[in-house]
Amino acid sequence: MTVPPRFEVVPAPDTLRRKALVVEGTMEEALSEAVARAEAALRELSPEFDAWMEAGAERLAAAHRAWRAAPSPASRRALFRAAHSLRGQAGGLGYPLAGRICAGLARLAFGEGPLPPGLVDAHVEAVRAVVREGARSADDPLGSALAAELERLAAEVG
Amino acid sequence: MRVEFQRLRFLVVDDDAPVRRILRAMLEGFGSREVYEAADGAEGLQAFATLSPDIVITDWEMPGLDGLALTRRVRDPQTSPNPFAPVIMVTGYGERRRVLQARSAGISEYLVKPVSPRALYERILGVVARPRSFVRGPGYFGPEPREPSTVSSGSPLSGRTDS
Repeated sequence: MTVPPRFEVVPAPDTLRRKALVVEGTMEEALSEAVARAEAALRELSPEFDAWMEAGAERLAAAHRAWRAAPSPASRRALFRAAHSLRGQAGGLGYPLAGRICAGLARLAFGEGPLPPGLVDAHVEAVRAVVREGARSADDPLGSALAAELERLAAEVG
Repeated sequence: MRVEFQRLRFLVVDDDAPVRRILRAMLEGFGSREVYEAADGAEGLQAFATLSPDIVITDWEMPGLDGLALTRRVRDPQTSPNPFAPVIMVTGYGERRRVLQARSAGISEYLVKPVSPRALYERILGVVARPRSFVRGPGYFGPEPREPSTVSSGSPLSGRTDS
């Protein structure tokens, strides 16, 4: 990229390269071995995933209750944050459908546009149902139909 | 070519404990022995100053000081103990305008959650093996921006909408 003249280019320090890069073997071989070890570490952690998702869904429900009880920019922001947070976690914890629904809720709650309470309720209930039923597959027929319907309704809100 | 992870110190900043656990598991799986955690940007900034991590991995959306503000503080040549430290942003935001905003703050790499071990390894390898030149100018100190078309290379950015 061409740098405008008023900007000065500073050479990158190669501190980490000198400290931690070993030039031997193929990159793909080292990457595959490291990734396999990381995946094994994640498998060891995976028995905890369901409990983490349940806790996240409960935090979302609590933020939802607080917003319902006293709608305000602050409670709406807390609702957004809970949905956005669970959206970020859900895929990694094996709940892509819950992540998809949370993404829709985060989009709704973001900013200052209309936020229909009934539609918010439906999103939160859908997330809780997906987690409760352990609907882990992104292709779960009921769950994906529900997510699609929520997305359709959210699109109407604009 | 490989990265000797046991020679690197990592700081993971995310307000979600499960995300921190997952990132730690990946890094330790790669071979890291020094992985430090912070639950928000302010705690992360303090840890950055006291622990001197080699690489910072941070979320964007956090209470108080968020990941963007943390990155700007890390990049501040007047106050930062290491303004060249690689900052890898790991976030739920996948929209192009967000990527550009993060780039303007001075991030080194950008990953959209959920993050795979392969994607994380590749970003770390990138900042270790191919460190980018930095640029100093009015209102910016950070890695030389890449062309926008390559900023999101490898990230699942397409088809995502804002929130």
